[in-house]
Amino acid sequence: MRDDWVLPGPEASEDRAVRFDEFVRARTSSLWHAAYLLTGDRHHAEDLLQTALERAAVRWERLDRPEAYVRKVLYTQAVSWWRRRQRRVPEVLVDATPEAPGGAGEPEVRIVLAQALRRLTARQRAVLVLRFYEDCTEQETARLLGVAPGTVKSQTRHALTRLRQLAPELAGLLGDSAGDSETSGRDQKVMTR
Amino acid sequence: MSLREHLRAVAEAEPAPALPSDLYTRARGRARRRRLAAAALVAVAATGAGLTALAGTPVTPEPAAPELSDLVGAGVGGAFGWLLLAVLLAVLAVLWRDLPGGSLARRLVAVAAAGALLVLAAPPGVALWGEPRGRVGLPDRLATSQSWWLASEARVSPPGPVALVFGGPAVRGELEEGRVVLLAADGDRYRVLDVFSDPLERAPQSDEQPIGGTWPVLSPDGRLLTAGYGMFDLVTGRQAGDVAAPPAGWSGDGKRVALPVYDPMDSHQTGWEVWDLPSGRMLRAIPYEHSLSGGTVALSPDGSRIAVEQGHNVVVYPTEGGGAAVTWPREGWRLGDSTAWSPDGRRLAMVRRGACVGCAPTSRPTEVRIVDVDTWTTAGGGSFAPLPPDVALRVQGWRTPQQLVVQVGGAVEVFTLGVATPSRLLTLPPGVTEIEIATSRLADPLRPAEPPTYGPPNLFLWLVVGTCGVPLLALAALVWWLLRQARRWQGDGENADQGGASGGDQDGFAEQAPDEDQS
Repeated sequence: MRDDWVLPGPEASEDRAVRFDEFVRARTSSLWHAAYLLTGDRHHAEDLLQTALERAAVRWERLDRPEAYVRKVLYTQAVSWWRRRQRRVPEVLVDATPEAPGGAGEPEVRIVLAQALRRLTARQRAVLVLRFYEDCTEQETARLLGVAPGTVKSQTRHALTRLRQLAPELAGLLGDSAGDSETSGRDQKVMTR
Repeated sequence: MSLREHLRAVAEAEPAPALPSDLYTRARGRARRRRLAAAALVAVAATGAGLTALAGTPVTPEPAAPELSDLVGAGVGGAFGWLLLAVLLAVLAVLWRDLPGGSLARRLVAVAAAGALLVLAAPPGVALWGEPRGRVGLPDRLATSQSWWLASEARVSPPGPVALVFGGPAVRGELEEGRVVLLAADGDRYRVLDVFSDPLERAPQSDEQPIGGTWPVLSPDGRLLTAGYGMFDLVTGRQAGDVAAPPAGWSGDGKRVALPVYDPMDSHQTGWEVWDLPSGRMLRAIPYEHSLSGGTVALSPDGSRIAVEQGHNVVVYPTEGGGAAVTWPREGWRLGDSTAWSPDGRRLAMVRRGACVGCAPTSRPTEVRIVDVDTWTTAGGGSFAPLPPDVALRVQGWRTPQQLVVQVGGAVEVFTLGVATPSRLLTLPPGVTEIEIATSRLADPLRPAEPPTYGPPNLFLWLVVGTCGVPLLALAALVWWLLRQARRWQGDGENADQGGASGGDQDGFAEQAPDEDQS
């Protein structure tokens, strides 16, 4: 997980608001991407990001690694029962499954992927984003979400299975990642060592 | 492309929003206001808990109760109400946590204020506006409420020890059931007590003795009230217990009672029993020579002797030791009710009623006299001028060893030894036909009456408020909603005229702002 913004030093406490603004300007884009992937909805992502940044502002003088804190808030709030209950996008059920587009190109794949992500549960989405977007290990993902590593494994497996059911045209893409779900990204590096 | 790259592409397709420049200041200000709201919430809860703890301390039957207890009560108006309010505020604080701090604080304070008002005024509680306390003495006049419908019920809002209880058509209204009014011993606090039958109307009458005396309703200290076969504690508002038969006489110190004994076969009275309340033992059983009903009995102030009507005689028994009784002829006179004994134990009040109220009038006058117990002769100055024959007569007790207090029709009079005509102590309001003053309160000084209070709003008032207030509230809400909708439509029209969209979420990000950091 990226955490490349640290407070410049003790002198930063002289003007915390300025340092906070610098942090926001520098890291908003990266944090926004995570928030958007976690919610799948622009308005909810804005709300989630603002909540996380506000919490960071309140605790600013006590934070050594503010970006890590904001990301932690993003992920925990994304799977929070209260927030999920209030922000859940109602699903629209249809009689027939949409026809799969033939020979999907990359833009189409992204649209289908975005739509399929929205139909996952908040926890499944969070696991996928952490594992395949933030490139976190299972242990890091489990620590961030406050669950057991075994839960991360099972949630990842369920999320990928669900994605395959929702969007069969992503099978090729997910097939590569399925193997990764067991030992993906940095997990492989850890095993190699 | 891998899944990671696709995810990145999905995320980067959505431009990041612009953040408000004062996010840091706003966030910290909002957090500060939330802390203040939470502190206010804790303060409300702590205040409620503190008041509840104070109210939970044992209530002594002293005339002057703590003023603080006026603020809290039992049931919904007490601890439970404060707890509900605290839970409601906590839930609302969570539900509204995303609101701006100022708005959140305003809403919570409004809910807390409205809830506190409801808890303080809600039945069963105590009146929000407070009630007079610590003013010992009999008021020189009684409240003449046109309607007692809005007065609290004694079981819901107990008045504490009472000075007197009264009833009559003005109190009952159109009710066929019984209703009496209670007046607290230490202030002009009035309550009503609704019971199946009017306890003040109960009088031992029978074919043998058609013009009987009255039985006491109040204990001497005014704390217990007997109605029907229930005895109510006026300090707690709870029923102290069922009684097989209501006491027909109390000793002046309130420690001994005389209970009638009935034949279970024909319900005729077969005699009396004298019980000692502190020890819970029966001191003496006094059987009638033949079964009858309607006799009157009077215990001496210390409970050591009891005077009993036995046929045409009055018999005075010692209550302990089984000593010999002394018999005196009644000669048409009756014991001056259960409160006949003078405080010094030397005299007895005797009455001769011309007729019961409502009965056929006779020419025989109603009379009061005071006799010496030991010689059965009229005490010096113990004869008084005759009274009208059909006047209601109810001996209340003794104000001093020389002053006998008697309800005579619509007034309470003081018969003083050596003075032929009684003096007026209290005039009853119109429509009040019965009154009983707690014997321990007869010696209290007369004090000017103050504006009466009738306790917290009762269920009837809440029903009236709900019936009238809810439609008004609904109407007000409808008008407010229509005005809001009208303003919104007007605003949309103006925006459409200007050819631009609205400015977006004021509390969040500006919409569709370019992402400076995107590359």
